[in-house]
Amino acid sequence: MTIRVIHPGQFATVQDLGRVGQGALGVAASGAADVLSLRIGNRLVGNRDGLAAVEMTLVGGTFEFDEETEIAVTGASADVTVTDEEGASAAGGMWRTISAPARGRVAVGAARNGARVYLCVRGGIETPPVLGSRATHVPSGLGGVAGRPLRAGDVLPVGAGRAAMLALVNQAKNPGLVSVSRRVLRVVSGAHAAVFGREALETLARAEFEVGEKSDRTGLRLTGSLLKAPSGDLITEGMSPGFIQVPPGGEPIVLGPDAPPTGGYPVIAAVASVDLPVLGQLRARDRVRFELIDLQRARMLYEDRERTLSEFIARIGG
Amino acid sequence: MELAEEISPEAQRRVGAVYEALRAANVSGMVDVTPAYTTVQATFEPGALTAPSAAEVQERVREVVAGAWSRRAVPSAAGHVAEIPVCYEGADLAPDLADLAAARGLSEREVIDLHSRAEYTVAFVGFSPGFGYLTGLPKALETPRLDVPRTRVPAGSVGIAGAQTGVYPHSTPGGWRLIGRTPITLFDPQRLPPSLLVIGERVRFKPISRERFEELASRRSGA
Repeated sequence: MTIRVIHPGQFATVQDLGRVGQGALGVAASGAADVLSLRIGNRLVGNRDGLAAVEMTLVGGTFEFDEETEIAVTGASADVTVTDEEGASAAGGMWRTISAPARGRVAVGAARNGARVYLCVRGGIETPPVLGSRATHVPSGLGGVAGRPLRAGDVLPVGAGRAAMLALVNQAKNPGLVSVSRRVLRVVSGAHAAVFGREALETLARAEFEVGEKSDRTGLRLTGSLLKAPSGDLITEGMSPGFIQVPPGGEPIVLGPDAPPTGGYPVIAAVASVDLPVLGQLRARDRVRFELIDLQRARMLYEDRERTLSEFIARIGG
Repeated sequence: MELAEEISPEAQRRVGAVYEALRAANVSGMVDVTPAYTTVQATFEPGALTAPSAAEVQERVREVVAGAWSRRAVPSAAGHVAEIPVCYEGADLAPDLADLAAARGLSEREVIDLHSRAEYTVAFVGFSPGFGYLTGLPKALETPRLDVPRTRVPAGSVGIAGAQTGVYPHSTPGGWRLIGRTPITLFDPQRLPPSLLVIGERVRFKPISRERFEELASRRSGA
């Protein structure tokens, strides 16, 4: 079966868990900006965690299905409208398995909180894998549909999947909601924390930052507070999503999934893995703070989250 | 991990050896290894370095690194030299050649000769897919980046930044000074290996005429 893009919304790409392991070729990880919402969406339609879905940014799109199938919309809150072949519309809802009728359309509205909304479909989107992943990396034109954002008229092949149990998420226990609403990012100290000195680390832990307008999947540019960057050049070295770089101007950049695997600005801290999905839901003008934790605590938080997620998946029958 | 304090051939040998040893070692929980000028970054699954099993992982990494250290004299791409055809002609293909030559007190011909007669080594591939950071640039050609980076550098552009030279595989923003362009594809995910340049590889640039450039470029777009 296939999905036809009627309208892609503001910016939509095909994403999965990313092209991890290709740093030595200069290839960015890419993948879903909010991995948690992608994973839950996949489970709601009976998929494995890592199948590809459509990631929409700020304003959702409209999609037409040639066969009846199960879908789930997760991530930032948005209206979901399902219209059948005859033109009868109904609200579809989020965080639940919904049925997309044959030759019907699903329209996703504007995100009311958060930045990214995922449309997951039973069987996953099966655009051709590139270097082991279907994730779209727009800056280098890899993956997804010709390495670019979706356009009206694109036809997305869908894989064969097993029928999903119709599941509705108990909102109170939904770990995906955390990624959409959290505004305090837990961080561990970075590779160059020592050269920044105490003052910069204290500022990082105390100050409030605002997400800048120029933020995208490559990085979030933070404004509002300045960190004193160490003088002298850094020799280009390896980087990862979640690293917080400080250019000479002092406004930090939090690297996103599309960031290059090497970079030349010093890294004061790195967002803990447990909070990486939160980064993907931040939008321009959101205010964020940082809380410095140690590696042990970061692992415990991650393991707790994974446990909650497993229990949750067990409840929805995934 | 930092393997040297400054960029040098010795640093490159250490990085190459540690990178290859880690790639081959199959360390539990390790998902990526990214070499650079003086460092190798190993990326692990969340918790892999603090879990109860972490001591074993760290011991394993130490063992692999120590083993690589003792073997670092072995160059990884001995013998083979990749040859990249470059057209150094025209304001469209070589927009910064005249300025760079003037700034260095050289003629354009001298810049081309110096650049194409040197042999380079791929220190690492980073920034964008297939972008090799080449060391070995003759001192006389060292020139800082542009004050204002270009918003779009065409794919195949050959540039100089400080003591480095390299080729932009994709059209991206960039601040390197552009002295020529190659018609060949540096990165193709459908090709094996996808990147023409890999860490440790030796490289030469071969000057070609504008006619030859157009011919190779049209052959590529027709393929």
